[in-house]
Amino acid sequence: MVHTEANDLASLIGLAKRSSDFVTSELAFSGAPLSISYFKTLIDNKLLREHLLDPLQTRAPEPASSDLEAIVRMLPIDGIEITADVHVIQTKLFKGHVLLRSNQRGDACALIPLDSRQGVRQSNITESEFSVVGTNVGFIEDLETNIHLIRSQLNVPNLVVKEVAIGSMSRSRVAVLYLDNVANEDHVSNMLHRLEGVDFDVLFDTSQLDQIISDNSMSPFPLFTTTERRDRVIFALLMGQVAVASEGSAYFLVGPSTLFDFFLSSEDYLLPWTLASFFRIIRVVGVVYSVFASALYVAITTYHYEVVPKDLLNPLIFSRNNIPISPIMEVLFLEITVELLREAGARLPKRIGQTIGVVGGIILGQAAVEAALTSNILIIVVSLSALASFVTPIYKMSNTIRFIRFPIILLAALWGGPGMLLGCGFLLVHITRLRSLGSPYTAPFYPLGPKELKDSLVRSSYQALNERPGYLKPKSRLRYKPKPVKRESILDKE
Amino acid sequence: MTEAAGRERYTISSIHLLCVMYVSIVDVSLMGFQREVVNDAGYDAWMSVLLAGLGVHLLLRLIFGIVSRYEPSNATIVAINNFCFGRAVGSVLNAAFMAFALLGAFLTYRSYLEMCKLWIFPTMNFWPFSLLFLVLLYYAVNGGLQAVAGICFWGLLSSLLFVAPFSMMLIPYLHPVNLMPAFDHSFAEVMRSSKQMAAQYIGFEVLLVAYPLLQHPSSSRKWAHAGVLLSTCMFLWLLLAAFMYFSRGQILHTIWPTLNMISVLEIPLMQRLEYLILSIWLIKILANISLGLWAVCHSAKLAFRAKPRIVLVVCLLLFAVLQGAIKDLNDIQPIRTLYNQVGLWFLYAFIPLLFVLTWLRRRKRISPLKYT
Repeated sequence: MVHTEANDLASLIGLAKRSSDFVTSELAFSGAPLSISYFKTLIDNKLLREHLLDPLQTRAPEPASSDLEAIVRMLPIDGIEITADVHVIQTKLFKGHVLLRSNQRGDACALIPLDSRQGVRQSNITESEFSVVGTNVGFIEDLETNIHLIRSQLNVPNLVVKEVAIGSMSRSRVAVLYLDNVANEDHVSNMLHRLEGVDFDVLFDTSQLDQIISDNSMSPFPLFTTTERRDRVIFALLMGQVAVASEGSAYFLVGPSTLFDFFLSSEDYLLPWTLASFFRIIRVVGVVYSVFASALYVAITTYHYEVVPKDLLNPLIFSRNNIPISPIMEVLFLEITVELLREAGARLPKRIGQTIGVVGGIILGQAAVEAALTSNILIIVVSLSALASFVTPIYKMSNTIRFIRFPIILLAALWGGPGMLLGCGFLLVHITRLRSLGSPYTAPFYPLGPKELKDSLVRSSYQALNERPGYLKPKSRLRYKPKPVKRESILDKE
Repeated sequence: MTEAAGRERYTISSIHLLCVMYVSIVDVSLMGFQREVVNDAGYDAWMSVLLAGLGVHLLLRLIFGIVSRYEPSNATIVAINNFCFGRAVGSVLNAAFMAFALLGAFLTYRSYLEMCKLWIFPTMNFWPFSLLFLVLLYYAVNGGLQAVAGICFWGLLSSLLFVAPFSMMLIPYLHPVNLMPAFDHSFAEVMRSSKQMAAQYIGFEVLLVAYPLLQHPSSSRKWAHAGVLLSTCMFLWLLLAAFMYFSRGQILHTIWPTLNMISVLEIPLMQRLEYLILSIWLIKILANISLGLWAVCHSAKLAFRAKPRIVLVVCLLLFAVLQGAIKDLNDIQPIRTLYNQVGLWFLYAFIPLLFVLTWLRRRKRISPLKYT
């Protein structure tokens, strides 16, 4: 433990008094002296006046009501706890509770929750997961608001919220949400068990939990979906997944996830299924291209000139014949340039970021070709694969995709085609062995679930999607009764 | 965690038996089996593919007949050997089975390396590549049957996505008249060729090790048969394609007819597709070798209580040492002939024997295997 735990109330007050924002004031109330103590930076002054000071001053004091229970009953606020446990008092004092003490009665204090919601943004439009069709309702950095957002759309008693406190210094409240008639108990208890076992100092964001509780912390793949979209979380809950939210984070963690969950966008369910399926296939093809394109260029230009047809060989040789460096150096040079652009663009303010994009992308690319450092064809390959790597709706997955290209490029430089496929083999074995909250990561492909394939590479129509995926082991498979399909031919009727 | 969930961590669903069967049967030989069967039956060898396939279906029936007479959780070849022949003889037989499976995995491994070497990089030193391949094998097999069956799935997928469609593109180059005159060979010739063909199917005996780890052993029969049927179709198609593509004289002098055929194909932006196929074939080969190695490690655990991970490391080190001892294809061929001989005896003599012995001593229970 890195922080101090006070042993009794006096020492706790003594510790707190060292800070200038700690306030203790004495109140004269029906003869019995009361004192209130609080951190003025943690509580809401307006609430303090309305809920504590005004009632105490205006209401006629009952005779012999000097004990805390009677006073507390007068206050127009609930959630007040009376305790003498100094650990509870310490925790709550630092979470924005006001300490109300009657000087006559030993260590017992009333803890009145008056924490302020300052510093929370008002707008809850999604910032990094945007969709053109449909709502863009996102979460904010306040746990109550976030749970409200979920509950307001799932109006059933089956939505269960369980809280865990994580972080020895931050004591962040972490909420686990699930539908008890859908989610598998093993997943819920597994998630709760993992969260309870976490020892950490300050929890900055839910994404940290992703790594702390993940099944395989060595993997570059995100094992839980992190999202700031309300519709995504609700959809996940409906399917039988478990969601985790934490105080001070606008992101939810959803698990168990599969690799394919990172390729789904909530728009897919709003567009007609034919279009949605087309876009999904485009996404997957884009990612596969992004992972292998540069490596394929290296393999072909280094070892396998034979596979290029002669019509294409001419432009390829023409664009490469002035270049003094080997294909692998050429590719690494460009790939790292793209990474630098991405990194710089992500850290800079929006307007400068755009400028950097223009300077880096257009001018640098053009200049690199004119200076004969890279070939035209490679510029096309690399920028297209950079573009394609960002098509996954969850940004975390884009990062993973950008990362796993490099080992494959190196293997392609070492052993050409077989080298590339060796890298691909490592990748396949890795994702096959991965598990998220104990369920297989590559479902519904491996283990193959023919029924679940309806909502994987393609998004079938709502008539076919009336069952929950079996790999999540939901308590009930049926989501809704589909509308019966009428297939009648006009020709027959005429 | 419940017991069912605990068991689920190690078992595979029966639909994946299709992938396992296909991958265990179709190995590197798919690239060059045509030459071996054509020796005896000429261009009537398609009959031998069908006959050999039929034989394997019968053997599968026998295997399922054997294992269904034992406790499902303990129906492995190890327990069956110990049960039928007693502990001492059984142990010898188990060791022999492991050596046989290991030899099969090694042959596939070495043949694939040789193929890459001859076809893609004739002058390259393959040591570093093979070492990384061994690391990959360790990573795959270390994941247990679930991971291995997963690789089998990707291997089957790669076959269906690449090998099958590309070989379909050969159709314009084929001369069906090559197959005429049909039924030109004697029954004995076709049988001799069938024997050659039956050897190509060796590998599916891995079922005898994997059976207890199937989620629903009883419903897995149809998938096993489907896997064998799929491989028969693949063999038959590539055999007919090769017959219609090459003349008989030419095929006798072609080591890998499948690769030669594919090399004439061209798609936009790419020609010499056999480079692509041979590279992608790596996934399939990886699955095949992993399956063999897994069978060895798992049997070692069951038979001799050996730690599978250590057995795996020893096997891979053995691979690394032995691969240097084999210089080229000429060194592989005699070992393959031996392996095929042993394999045919194993499949067509030993398994029926097991069936008879089990049938004689039926209904005796053996203690179930614990999943720990």
